[in-house]
Amino acid sequence: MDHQKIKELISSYHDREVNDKDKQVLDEHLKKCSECRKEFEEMGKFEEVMGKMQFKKPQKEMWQVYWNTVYNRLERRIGWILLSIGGMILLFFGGYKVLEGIIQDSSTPLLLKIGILAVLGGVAVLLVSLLREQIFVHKRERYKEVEK
Amino acid sequence: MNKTGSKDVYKTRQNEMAEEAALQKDRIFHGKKVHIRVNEEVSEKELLEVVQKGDKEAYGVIVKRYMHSAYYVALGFVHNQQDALDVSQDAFIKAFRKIKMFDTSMPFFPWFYRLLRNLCIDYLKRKNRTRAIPLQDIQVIAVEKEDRELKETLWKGIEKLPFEQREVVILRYFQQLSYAEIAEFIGKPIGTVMSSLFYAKKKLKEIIGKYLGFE
Repeated sequence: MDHQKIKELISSYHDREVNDKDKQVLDEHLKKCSECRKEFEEMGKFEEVMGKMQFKKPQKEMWQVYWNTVYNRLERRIGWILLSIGGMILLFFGGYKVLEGIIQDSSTPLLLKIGILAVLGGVAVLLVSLLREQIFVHKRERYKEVEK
Repeated sequence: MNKTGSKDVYKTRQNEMAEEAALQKDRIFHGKKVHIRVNEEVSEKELLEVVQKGDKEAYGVIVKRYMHSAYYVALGFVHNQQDALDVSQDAFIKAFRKIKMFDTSMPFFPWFYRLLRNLCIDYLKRKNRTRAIPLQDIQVIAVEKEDRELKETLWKGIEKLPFEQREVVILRYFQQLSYAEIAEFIGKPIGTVMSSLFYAKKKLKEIIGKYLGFE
């Protein structure tokens, strides 16, 4: 077996991922190869250092509120969806009624009718756009607040 | 870090799980009785089936079970505590939304991990965060000044690894997963995991070699 393969076995050995057969091959090779013995020892030291690496633990309070935060955000999302759906229904219904009134009123000048229709159309588009942003881009917005 | 004490990420927080479970009594989720008591672990499959019906309380048990692992995985990728908290919580929210697509005969965490990993990648891309992890977020059990320098050098080395290698390093050393578990998590063969880890170690060993007296 070549040195490259043995070095991979050394890596796996320190991870306790070597089977008995490979362990025997490794042991036999190490007896007669000083280069791989050196690699074995160095890898042992490396593993010792890596074994000491650990993340700093956050405050215990973080775990206590962790689920509550997830729960609240799940609830809030449903709230946003309901609000958006309700808002859109009201908006379209109101818009329809207003339009109906304007169109049916023969005393209203045509230019005024067009102007009002344009304003209502613009408002409707903007509101729908904003609602959609709140629902679908909410997460992205939240990250912007986090960045400092 | 005791590597032998925890080979399975699903079991890494069992003590905390027992404490959390101790705070709760038997509950009825959608007409199905679910026991949540000390020394009586709730079947994950049973819980997830209830979650799939939309039960948030049952999902709370799942979140509490895996929040530690999720947070530390995210911390390994996104560099600081606040971001790790946010991204891991985002992943739980996303998982809840997609839970009906989940096969309850499979373990939850590998499936969840893939959602979390993708969110971490998206997050890094979006924010273009290439800065190194703040060292205050990493702790090495060391008292010597020299060891502190070693820690800094080692972490910078981990940060510079290609994403695939960094991922296996994080899962191996910070989640204590076996090769088979890592392979399941990242959806690649064990041989690929072994190879990625070998090359990652080789690079890191070269980087910190001078501190350990390697020639």
